Amino acid sequence: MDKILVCDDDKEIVEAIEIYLQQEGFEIVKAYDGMEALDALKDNEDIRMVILDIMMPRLDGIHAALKIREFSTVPIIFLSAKSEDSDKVLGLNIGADDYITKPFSPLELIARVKSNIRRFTTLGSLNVTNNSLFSAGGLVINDETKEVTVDGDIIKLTPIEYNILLLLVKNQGKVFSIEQIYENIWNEEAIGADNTVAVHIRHIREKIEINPKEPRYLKVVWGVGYKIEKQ
Amino acid sequence: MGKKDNTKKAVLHRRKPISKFKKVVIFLIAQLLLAFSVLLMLITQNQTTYQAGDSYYGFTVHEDIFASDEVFEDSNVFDNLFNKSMDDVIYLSVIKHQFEEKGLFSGKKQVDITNYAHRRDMAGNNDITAVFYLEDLLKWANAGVDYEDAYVSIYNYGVSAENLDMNVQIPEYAHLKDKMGNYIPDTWMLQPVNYALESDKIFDVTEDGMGNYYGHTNILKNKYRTIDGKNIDQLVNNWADYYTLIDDLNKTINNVYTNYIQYQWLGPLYFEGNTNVLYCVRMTDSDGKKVYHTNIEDADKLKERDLDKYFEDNSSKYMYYSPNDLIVQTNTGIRNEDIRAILISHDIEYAYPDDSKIWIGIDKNYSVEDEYFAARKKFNSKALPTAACAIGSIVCLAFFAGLMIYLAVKTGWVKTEEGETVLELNGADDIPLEIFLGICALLSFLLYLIAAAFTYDFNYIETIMNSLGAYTLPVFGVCFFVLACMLGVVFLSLIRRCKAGTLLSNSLVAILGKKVVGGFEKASGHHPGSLMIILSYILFLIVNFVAVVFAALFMDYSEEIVGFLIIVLMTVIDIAIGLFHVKCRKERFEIIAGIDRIRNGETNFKINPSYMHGTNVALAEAANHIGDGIHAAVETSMKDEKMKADLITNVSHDIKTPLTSIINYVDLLKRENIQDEKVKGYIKVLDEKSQRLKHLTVDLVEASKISSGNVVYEMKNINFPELINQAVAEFSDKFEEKGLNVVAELDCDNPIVVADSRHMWRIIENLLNNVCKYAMPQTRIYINLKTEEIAKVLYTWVSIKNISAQALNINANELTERFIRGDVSRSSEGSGLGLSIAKSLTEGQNGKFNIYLDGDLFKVTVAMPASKE
Repeated sequence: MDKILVCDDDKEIVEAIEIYLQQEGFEIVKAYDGMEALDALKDNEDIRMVILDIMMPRLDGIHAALKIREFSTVPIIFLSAKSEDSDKVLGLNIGADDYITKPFSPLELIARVKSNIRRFTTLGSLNVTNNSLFSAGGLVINDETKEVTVDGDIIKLTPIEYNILLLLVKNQGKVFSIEQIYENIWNEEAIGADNTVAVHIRHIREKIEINPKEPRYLKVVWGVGYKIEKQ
Repeated sequence: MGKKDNTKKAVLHRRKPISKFKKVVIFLIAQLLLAFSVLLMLITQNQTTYQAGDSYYGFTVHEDIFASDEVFEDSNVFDNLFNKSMDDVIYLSVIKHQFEEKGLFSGKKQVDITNYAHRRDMAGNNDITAVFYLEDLLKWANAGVDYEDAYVSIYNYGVSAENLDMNVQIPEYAHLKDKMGNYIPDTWMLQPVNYALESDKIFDVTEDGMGNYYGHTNILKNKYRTIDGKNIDQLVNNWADYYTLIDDLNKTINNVYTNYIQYQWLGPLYFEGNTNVLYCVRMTDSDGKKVYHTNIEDADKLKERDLDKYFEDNSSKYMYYSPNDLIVQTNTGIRNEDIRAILISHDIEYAYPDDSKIWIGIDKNYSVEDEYFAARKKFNSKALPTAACAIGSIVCLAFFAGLMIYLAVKTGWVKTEEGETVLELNGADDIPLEIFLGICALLSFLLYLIAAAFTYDFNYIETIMNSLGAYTLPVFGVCFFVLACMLGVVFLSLIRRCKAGTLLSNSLVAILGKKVVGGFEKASGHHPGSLMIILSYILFLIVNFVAVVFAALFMDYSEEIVGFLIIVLMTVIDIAIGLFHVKCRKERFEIIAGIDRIRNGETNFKINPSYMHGTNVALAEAANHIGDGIHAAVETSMKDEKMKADLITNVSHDIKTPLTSIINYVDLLKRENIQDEKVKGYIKVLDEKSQRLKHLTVDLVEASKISSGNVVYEMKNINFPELINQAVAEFSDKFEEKGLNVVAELDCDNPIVVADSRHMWRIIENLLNNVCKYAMPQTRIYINLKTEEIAKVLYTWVSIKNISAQALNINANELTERFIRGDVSRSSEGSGLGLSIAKSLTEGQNGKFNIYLDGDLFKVTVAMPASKE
């Protein structure tokens, strides 16, 4: 029974999140501003995850996160109405693990919470010694068993999808154009522009990403191609 | 208050016009009065003026205009004539005493010139004198007293006048003169040394520069000799006496000659039978013998008492006087002093040593037609009473003046047809003032000539009178009347000019001046600053000209250095002025450059006016102010836009928090196992609408961000077909859902465009979203790429065509306005911002965004600049 600290100055939101996470079997500690969150975190050392609003009275989320990072490595997810890129970059840079904008989808929130807790608790000690094992963050591909897991969950992919993902994971950070992917996978020259590859990639994203529109692993480089971000 | 009203009324009254006819009549009456006045004046003048003497030695006597004398002998005319006669008679007697012997002229009378010349002061030097015959003196006077130049050499400088005869012997002076001809130096070389003869300026002494002195003097030309047959120079021993004697001779000759002329004139005038004047002057000659000068027969034989009686009986007025005992006996107003003054003026003391007596009287019968006779006749035959004429003249003049003043007040004012009173000028008033005054002067001169003819020159008027006879006065009156009318017209015109204020402005000088000033103004573009430049330039030219003239003058006076210095100075000044102008021009260009920078967006740029000159400072400061203004305006506008964007962002943040709760709790409701279909339907509506609200807030923030320019574009080369492929792939599910078939033709010449890939994706996403929402299901979507050059820029553009599910009853341009959507009812999903955002983002990346509507065909084109690589 993992404990999760939920901190937001809007009590209804805190309660709604409590309902969702309790249904998923988490225990919830509630706080309504940054100071309370810090106190709660000091009182309960077994808290596994912090969900933190940014705009709060007394002590805001950014400063609270900075204080937390002074004594703890517990995963922090920002949950904010601030949706600018700059806000997200700032949040992630000061030590948060994820950033969800309001209004959020409850399912996405649960998925992200689970994903982060898993990585924090189980995958943190993963030893990658196997040569046929490829990983990018929480995404792990075992080329021997042809098994793909995201944060420990097994993902089912078609052979073409598997090959495309493997190509991208093997060459993390490199951008592949549609043509290049086509030539690599189908082993034949691409004739004309086609969106077959693009459709496959969209499917892969839908399977491995929590929110395909804001992919964590398989990123679209618009007008150029696709890549797996180097983790 | 009342006073003010009165003043106003007076002004109005003054301006009340009178009819033209009335004006003319009044004018003519006035001029007639003037002519009449002048005529009366002339009559007065004529009646009070008496002529005495003959036509050569005549004089006029004026009677008092208001004198009330009824008898001629009491009038001042008679007194004047009597005085004159007395003066003449005394003078004549003196001359007679000098010239006559036994009542007849004697040319052999001997005249001692020293005594004669000094007969009054008795200062004559009796040691040296000369005696001439009277006739010789008169002849000499007729021939003229002449001198000739003589030069003498003075050997001893500093000698006095008395010592000069040591060197210059008088008898030899002619001889000396011949000798000296050789010594006469050029006169211009002689310096005056007058101090050589301080006491007696007989000689003009000159020095020839070599220590030699010369004297210059005048020598009398001997024409007549003394009774002893001697010349003057033979009578004296030295130069001083010589000149004293010559001086006396000169005086005597002049005096004798003057007296002789008077003798010739006065003598006949007072002959018996030529005059009504009776006179007798008794005096004693040098031998003590009594001599009578008289025009009464046998006066010398009468006793003194009988003479007195004779004069009392025969004269209307008489006077007798004895200088010795100062007794005056008279029935006139003559006083002792008057007679003494006359006596002294005619050397009576010299001529009448003692026992002299003077009798003068006027024949009471006026038996001779002389001046007394004429004056008495005129006095007794006056046509009009003089005083009445004079008063009448003044009265007429006064009336004339009054009428003219009245006309001056009224002239110019006329009543228009509308009944308004206006000032009207006529043709004469338009003639330039100078010409007008010239005419006026000419007329005045003519008037003066006429008036002068009648008033001053008595002889002239007689000539005219003789030729015109009885018509003299009427003819003169008409002439004067015509001239007076003309002058009156001129006068009234001047008054009208004053009233209209055109007196000075309508003059040749003013018109010419205006033309000159106007020319200047035209040249300067009607700007005082430009005029200043023109004037200063003219000043500059004048200074240069004057300097050149001065330099030339100095050169001429062989002061080349000064002239050269002036030229150098002027050159330096001119160069300095030239440099100054170049500097000003440079500053001007700096200002222009500064204004250019401000115009090109550098609104906080400042021109530094601290080192500039003249108008450039003002210009630079003005440019800076404009820059400040633009800067402030741009700042304000930017700030406003930023504030608007911030406001929308903040508001949307504030909306997002409650929206989060709504969405979450709707979701929770959905999770509740609700069986009631009605409630489920409600929840569904809540779910949809809260989702839409979420999209709306996101789009709103984005749209405001884009329009306020708060978007950063990272431009780089991207593959347009690739992007469209990726995008279409993203939408493949949605298209399938609605049965839309995409037909993409993505081959083109320049597939690489310059754009921000993420914004580009947003544009295509919005367009495809639009297609999904509004395209008719089961239709084809056509996507084409094309490269085209628009305005010399190569564009690669994509066009997306679809068939709209609903009729598009809207303008294509309106579709890109914020919150406009194809369906006016706004029932379907979507924020209405999609196309607006797409358009803003396209234009933000220098692209072109267009929408075409053709029936149900909906076509969007996005043109992006093609990469040059």
